[in-house]
Amino acid sequence: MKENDNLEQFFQKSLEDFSAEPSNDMWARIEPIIPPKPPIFGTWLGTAKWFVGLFIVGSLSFGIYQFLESQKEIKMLSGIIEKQQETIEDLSARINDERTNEVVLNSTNLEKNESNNPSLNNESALTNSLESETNYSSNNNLKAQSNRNQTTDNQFLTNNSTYSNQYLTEKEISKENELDQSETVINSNSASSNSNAPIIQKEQLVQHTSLFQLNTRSIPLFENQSTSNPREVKVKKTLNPFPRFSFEGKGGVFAHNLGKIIYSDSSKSANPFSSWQAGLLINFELNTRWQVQTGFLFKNFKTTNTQIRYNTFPILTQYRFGFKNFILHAKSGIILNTLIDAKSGTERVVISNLQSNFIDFMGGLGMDFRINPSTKLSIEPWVSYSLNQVANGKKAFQFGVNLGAKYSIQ
Amino acid sequence: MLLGVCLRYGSNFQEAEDFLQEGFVKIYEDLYQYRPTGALGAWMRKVMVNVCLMHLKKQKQFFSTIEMDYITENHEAHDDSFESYRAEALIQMIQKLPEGYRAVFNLYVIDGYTHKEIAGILNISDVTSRPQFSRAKKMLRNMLENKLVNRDL
Repeated sequence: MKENDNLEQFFQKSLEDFSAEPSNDMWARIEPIIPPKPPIFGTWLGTAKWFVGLFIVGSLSFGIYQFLESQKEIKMLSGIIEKQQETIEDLSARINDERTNEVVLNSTNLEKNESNNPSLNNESALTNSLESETNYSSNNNLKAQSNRNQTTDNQFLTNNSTYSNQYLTEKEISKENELDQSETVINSNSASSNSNAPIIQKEQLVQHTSLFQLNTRSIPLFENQSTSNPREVKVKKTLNPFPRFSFEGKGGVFAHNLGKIIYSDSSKSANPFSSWQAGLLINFELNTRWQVQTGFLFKNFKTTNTQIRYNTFPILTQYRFGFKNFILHAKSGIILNTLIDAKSGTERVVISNLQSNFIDFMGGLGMDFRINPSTKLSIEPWVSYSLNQVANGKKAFQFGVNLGAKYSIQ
Repeated sequence: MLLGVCLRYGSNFQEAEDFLQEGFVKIYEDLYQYRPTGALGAWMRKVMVNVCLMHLKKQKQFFSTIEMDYITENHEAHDDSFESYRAEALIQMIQKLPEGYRAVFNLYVIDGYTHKEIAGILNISDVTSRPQFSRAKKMLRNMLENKLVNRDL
């Protein structure tokens, strides 16, 4: 706290409101050197600030509009997808029902055949019939026909049921009920259950198995076909997320030469990496490669005695390239810096030679790590150099590292 | 008022008018930066102080150490009698101070800055600002005493 003695108080009271009359020709000397009227927004830097502000407000408004529109679109597409899923489930259930009916029908027919033609129960007769070339080739033909008719599941079922009526025994029918399991299990079961049957019958059973397996796989085939539906391709095209907006919180430390160019005394120059910055950025992602970035960063330049604080507004372009979860990026652009104040301890000070506004050219290389489709973490070393003088006719140089987290609107 | 500020920081009337002239131009140029949160007069005064300081900083011998042999340390001034002095005379005394002392004295006593702030403004350390201020006070005290003895005011 200030302690004024009498001398100080005396001078203070006497000179606080002291005024004097200038010479008569004072105004005549001032008038010729007054510069032309400043532009409506002030200096070109002042004008630039207005445009940066307008750009940020415009970007935010456009981003919010895009976000709301995308939400509507997502709701609409979700409805379509749900309906399609319901349709697929209905079709799957219908196919399963039809298959069950066919199996029941087969067993009924076989029972009838057994009662009408006892020779079918004779293993040797069945063996003979299976051994015949004609039957084997018809089997192959049938298989080929089944493959050709995969697109129509009902047709396949019909073919398969016809085949079953001709060649399946009761044992085989009981085996077929287990054929929804894996092929290995099916083959081993077939072999064990027909251990008493002739070898040629086992081979034939394998043929049956493969055919029936084809039948049981008809549902996945159908599902694959449904995903290649042109209607769904159109939906995928609609979901292309670009252009889109993403938001990035960023902060980091940096070193600079501001102290050196302000103070002639080298002991007052800046301490490396003691200065810091933090803020929020908006990215307008044009496509997977290019994006434009702007926003706001608070910068605190620390020197030995003082802290000089700036608001900064970057306008940057960024190019991205990389792999699945690691994305490299390179960026460059300009940063508009506007002085907030300077402090020595907790008291504000005026640094008379320091420019209130200056522009930096900035470049950086960094890496993003994708946590999920919407969120990324980033690390980014950067450098910048001022395009105009910052203090005492000298330019400022800065370099540092930023860490950030980015959220993309899907 | 603004000329009064310039007279305190300048070494003579002519120099003060030069400061005033440049200060007016600076005020005109920076007027768009003025925010009506504070008094316009105070803002203009601040700009004028900055202009004066900028001029003083350009001079090489701004903060050179000056031998103060003629100042006696145990000087006792009779402050009550000082009230009769006119402001113009006090300005003349301040103008006789070396530039660095003059700036520190003006900033601390009249414009109300602390030594820390002064160190920041003038790019000097705290250690430099305080002794310059006390030496300025001693010089002024001495001048006031001499004036009082000679009764030429």
